[in-house]
Amino acid sequence: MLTTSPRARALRAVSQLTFTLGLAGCIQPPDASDPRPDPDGGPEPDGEAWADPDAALPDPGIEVDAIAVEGIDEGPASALDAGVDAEPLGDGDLPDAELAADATPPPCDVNDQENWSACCEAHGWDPDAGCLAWGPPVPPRVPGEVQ
Amino acid sequence: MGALIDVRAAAQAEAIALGPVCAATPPLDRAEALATWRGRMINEYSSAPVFAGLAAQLRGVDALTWAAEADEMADEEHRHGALCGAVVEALGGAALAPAPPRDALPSHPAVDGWEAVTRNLLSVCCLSETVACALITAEREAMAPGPLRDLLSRILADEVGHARLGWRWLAAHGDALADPDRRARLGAYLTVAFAHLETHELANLQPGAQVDATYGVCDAHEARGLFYETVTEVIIPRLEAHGLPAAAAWRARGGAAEAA
Repeated sequence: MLTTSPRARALRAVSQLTFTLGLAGCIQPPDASDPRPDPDGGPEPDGEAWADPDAALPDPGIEVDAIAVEGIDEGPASALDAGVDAEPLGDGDLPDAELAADATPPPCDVNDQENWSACCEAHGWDPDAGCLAWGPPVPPRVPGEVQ
Repeated sequence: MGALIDVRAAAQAEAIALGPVCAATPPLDRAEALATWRGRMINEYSSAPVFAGLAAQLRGVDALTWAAEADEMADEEHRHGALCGAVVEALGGAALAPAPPRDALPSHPAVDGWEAVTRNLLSVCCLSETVACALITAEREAMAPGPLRDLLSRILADEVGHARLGWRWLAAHGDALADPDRRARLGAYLTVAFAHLETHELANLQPGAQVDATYGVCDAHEARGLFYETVTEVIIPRLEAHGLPAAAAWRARGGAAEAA
């Protein structure tokens, strides 16, 4: 489970990566007086890395304060639960024999490439479910705009 | 026959050993982990054409150095697919999956080439990849030292570069962004992009499944919270700092979702 600490540290790290040299003069540096506590007491921010667009990811312990924007709708609280409890993405429909013992119909044969996709579809395997939002999706088109 | 993502050879070349912890894990936990990492394998591998498309668009506006970077990022997404596949293989699965259908990268012909590629960089780098960095960082933080954490570190290092591509692009083109009409149009696009991002992230972060930080099976409820915080506390302020009306776009995203 992601605890508060990793979440806070992730926010600080990702905040740092969005800074670029061209903007360094336009944005206030981390505010040492920010009252938000760092539960793990990470080190002070590295000002040089903060402004360097080619810097590697800062150590997650580096403290950078996110800039708050007033009046932003953070999304409905219920959205955090909007997915309803989804069925776990079981692997019984995939070619792992030890996992597929209870699966019906029988597991797909990984070596039968001709029928493998159809077999997975027959099992209702949903590649979009789970906790796996990484690779960027294709950007959207603007509805109604000429394409 | 549908298209397949088959990274078994590359995944086996990246072989990682999960050790005795894996052997001790009940099958159900392993199934969750397998499903998660196979899904990531698909998402990562399938996103390579997004960066290849960005590279082509960047070449179209003579941004050749940027294009070369985007080409490299396409290769990195393929590598990430193999790395995620290596986890699948280590868990006893096969790094093989149906390839989901994907649309081509939009060319946005209603606007000029620079603005079109800027739209796509906003969506891919400043939104999606920045959120990905937050999610992976949190997951890595929750994971004990070991081969899986090392693997996540490799992926994260690349993802940071992917996110920064968009932020660097904005910083390098302040003059173009000074045009108020252009800012307004990009703001309108952000409304659509935010709606799209929210739909994508919520669909991919489904609470209810088992959570096992050992294997990178994150708590989707927590991850959703981190997603919203990343948008509101990091992405929107940074976009606003570049002169883009991101806060208004985020508030208006509901209408864009309905229009789509």
